[in-house]
Amino acid sequence: MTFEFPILSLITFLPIIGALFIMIMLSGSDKVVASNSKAIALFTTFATFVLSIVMYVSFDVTSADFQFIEQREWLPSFGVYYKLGVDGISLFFILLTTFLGPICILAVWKNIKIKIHEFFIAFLILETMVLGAFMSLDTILFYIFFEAALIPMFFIIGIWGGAHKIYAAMKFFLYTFLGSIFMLVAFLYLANMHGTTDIEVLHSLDIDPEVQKYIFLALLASFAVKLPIFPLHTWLPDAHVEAPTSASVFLTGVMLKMGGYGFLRLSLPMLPDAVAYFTPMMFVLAGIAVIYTSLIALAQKDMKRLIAYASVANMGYVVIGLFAFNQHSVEGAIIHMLSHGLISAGLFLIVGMLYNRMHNRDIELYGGVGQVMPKLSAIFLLLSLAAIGLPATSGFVGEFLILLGAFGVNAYIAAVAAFGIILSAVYMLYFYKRVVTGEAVQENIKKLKDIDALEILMLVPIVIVIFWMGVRPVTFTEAIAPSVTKVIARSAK
Amino acid sequence: MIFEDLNIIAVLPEIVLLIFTILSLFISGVGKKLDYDVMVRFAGLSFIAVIYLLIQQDRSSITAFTEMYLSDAFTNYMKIFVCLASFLAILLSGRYLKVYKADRLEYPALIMFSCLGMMTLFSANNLIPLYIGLEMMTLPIYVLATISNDDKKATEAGMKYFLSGIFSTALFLYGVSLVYGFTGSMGFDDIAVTLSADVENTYVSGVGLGLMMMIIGVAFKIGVVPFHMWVPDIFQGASTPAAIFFSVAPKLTMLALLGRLLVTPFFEMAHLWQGIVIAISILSMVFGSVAALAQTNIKRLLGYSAIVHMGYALIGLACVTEIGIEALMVYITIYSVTILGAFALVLLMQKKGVMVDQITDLSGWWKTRPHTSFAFTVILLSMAGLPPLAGFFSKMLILQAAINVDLIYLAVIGVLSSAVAVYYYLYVIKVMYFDKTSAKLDKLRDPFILFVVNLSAVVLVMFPVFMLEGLLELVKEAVRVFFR
Repeated sequence: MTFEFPILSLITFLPIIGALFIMIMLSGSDKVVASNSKAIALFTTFATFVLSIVMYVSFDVTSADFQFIEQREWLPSFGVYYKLGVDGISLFFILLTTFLGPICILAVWKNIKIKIHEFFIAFLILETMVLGAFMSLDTILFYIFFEAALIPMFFIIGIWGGAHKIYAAMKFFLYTFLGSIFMLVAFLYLANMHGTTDIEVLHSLDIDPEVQKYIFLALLASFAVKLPIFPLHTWLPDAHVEAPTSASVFLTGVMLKMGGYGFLRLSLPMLPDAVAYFTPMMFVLAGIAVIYTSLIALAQKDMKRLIAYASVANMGYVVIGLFAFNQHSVEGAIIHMLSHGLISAGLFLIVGMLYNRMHNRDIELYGGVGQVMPKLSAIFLLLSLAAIGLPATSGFVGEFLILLGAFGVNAYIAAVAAFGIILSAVYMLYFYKRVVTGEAVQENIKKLKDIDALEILMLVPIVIVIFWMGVRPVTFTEAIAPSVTKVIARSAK
Repeated sequence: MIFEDLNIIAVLPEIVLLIFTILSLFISGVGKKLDYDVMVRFAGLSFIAVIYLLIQQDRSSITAFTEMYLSDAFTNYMKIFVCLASFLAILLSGRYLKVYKADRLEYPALIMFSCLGMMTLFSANNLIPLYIGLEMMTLPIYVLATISNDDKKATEAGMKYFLSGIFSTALFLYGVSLVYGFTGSMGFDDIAVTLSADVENTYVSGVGLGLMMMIIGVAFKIGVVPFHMWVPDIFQGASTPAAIFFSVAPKLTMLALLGRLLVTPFFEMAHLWQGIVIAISILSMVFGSVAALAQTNIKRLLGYSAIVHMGYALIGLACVTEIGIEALMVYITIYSVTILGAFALVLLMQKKGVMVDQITDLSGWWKTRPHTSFAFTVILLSMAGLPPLAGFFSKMLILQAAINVDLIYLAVIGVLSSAVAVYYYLYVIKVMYFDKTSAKLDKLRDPFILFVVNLSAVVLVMFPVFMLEGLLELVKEAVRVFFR
């Protein structure tokens, strides 16, 4: 369905227009600049969110095709088009991004003191690039947005990050960049062989199976770093720990999902034979990721590091779901990505709130927080249980569907995944216990103030959506299902 | 009549430039008390005139001087480019030469001579004017490199450049003589005809050897591995204004020349020279990016990065196809914008009136000069080849050309080297933005330099959306003359 009004371009570029506004309106004292830029940033991200809701409402959930397609000639001599479109798969990733946008802006509202307007500029540019990547229907355009997102994140971690920020920022950038350039070569190769960079056209082609394997590996290099998949995950703990709260939230909530989205949009539909060929390897890697990183999470003393490793484990489930390659498991993988995006975002926000008060993330220095911060503890408990996969939360829906789909394909990997869920219960509850339960002994704990209105405003929407997904998942699955069916239909017979 | 073959009108831009150059020299000799800015303005005027003439010029292929001189779309494109670069180099040199105590009135005339040599080089349709142009281009540069009076580093750099320069010219000349010996002519068209008619390949060994000598001679001048030893030293040692000129003009001239040479007269021998070009390209990319990692001096870093970029550009040449040469030319153009902006920015690095060039001297620059450091970031990221900046698109064109001829391993080596290279560009950005300490650089407000820096940054950002198609069309027209 071609839409006359370029709503997708508007959603994509509104954040960067906001950034340009901030760049221009830099006159006045530091305080004036800071408050002006806060207002612009919040307004922009909120407007983007509203626009994406408008798009959602106009979305036809029964159709598996791409909707709101915008296609414009950009570089005729390359054959590259500016083409955007949304289908059931990308719809919720876009909504997740625009949903987390205002929340991330609010998260730094009071916390960043130096040059906050530059932070907003970087963040808004980042949001534009991520949205563009999710909506892009041209391989080169996708690559441009995918890579361009690295630059603002590099700056955010490097300027406003923690103690080892430079190491973390460099590692993040170089690792992801190295993986992605193979993707570029693969795209150029496909453009050369089949004369097109249009993703829709590439989906319908029959590519030679031997060639498929090389292309799969090239794309894998990129997505395996991004998602991340063991053993290319080592950038993630450092990046998450050193990044400021907003950046961690956005990184875990949205940027990791670009890797999963890449599989869904490119590898799975385009390269079915290669997918079938490499499935055993992917299962092994995902299984190791789940068990290994869950155990590491258990041993962590730094809160953020714990949640970071938990993220890697969760992405292991996603890989299992994707490569089991049937209706249930793929739907489950998508739901799980969305759910994990929300849960991890919430958890990082909570850790951020604790850090703002205690200036420390070492779990051993906590204990008995529940006594002085009941509201925070309540939300913290809800999020932990969602992370474990308690029914009625989104965590359950995703994990259940993945297991359901995976059992039919390979009972062993499903068993490993189920065991991983048990491990997640162990590390999450152990984490919760050490921080929240018990007596508040130390002086600084006793003086902690509970979360205020602004912080509740950040957390409550997340909790609401988590329960919505858990109690009435059909709102989400009905939109996702047709597009997933279309992808599955391409699987190797 | 002899004048019919002369076709002076085609050579009008060069003649005008020659007249202005001689006038400039004359004035500098006679008017000893003149202010340097007067010379700059005079040179500026002359370049405006020349560029105007070039734009008006007819772009179809015309020959002059009994087929020794060729004027077509390619030469037109490159000449405008080279004149613009020289123009900017002179304008940028202004007050900075005073810092180096090198504001000799002959400076602009030297650059104009070099530019004239480059124009002759492009239009050469025969090995002799080619050599004349080559010498006319490089001799003034030797002087330019050493012109900073009291600086030992400049003299050392100039000596290195001079010695390697004359050595490479000698090699080149030897190659030319071999080619002449075996093919019996110096004209490009005649050579092409002789080689294509040479069915039994009797000339191959002789001409092949000559061609190899010529390639090595030119490779020295481009500054690619393994003939690159002078590049970092000259970039570091020479005064920055001089570095601006010879980071852009001569290298890129030689690159474009190599393109023309290897495609038009020596096209038949592609199977011989393709391997050499590929080898040089790989060595430059790999060695250049690794060596740059350890640098602490920004000018030296830019020198090694130049080596890597030349290696990348040579991939385009190694493809021997029309898209390959197009990619080469787009790459050259965009790279020149970047390096001009980068060196203009290095001109701003002064502490208490003294030029400094360590990377650490940039630390904390973001806090004092946010706009300028942002512009520099754009320039650096474009050099690294990051989307959505112009440098990415030029890189993509090259990769596409390589994949098109199944040189996939070359494309992979290219991207791997750029992954390594991105580290040192990020390192400079890191020093500017992330470092806590602040090396207090003078806050210079030279409007022209800032204009150049900001203009290049803007161009690099706006380029993909607005200008890429236009540039590609111009380049396509230029390259079409090769493959007629």
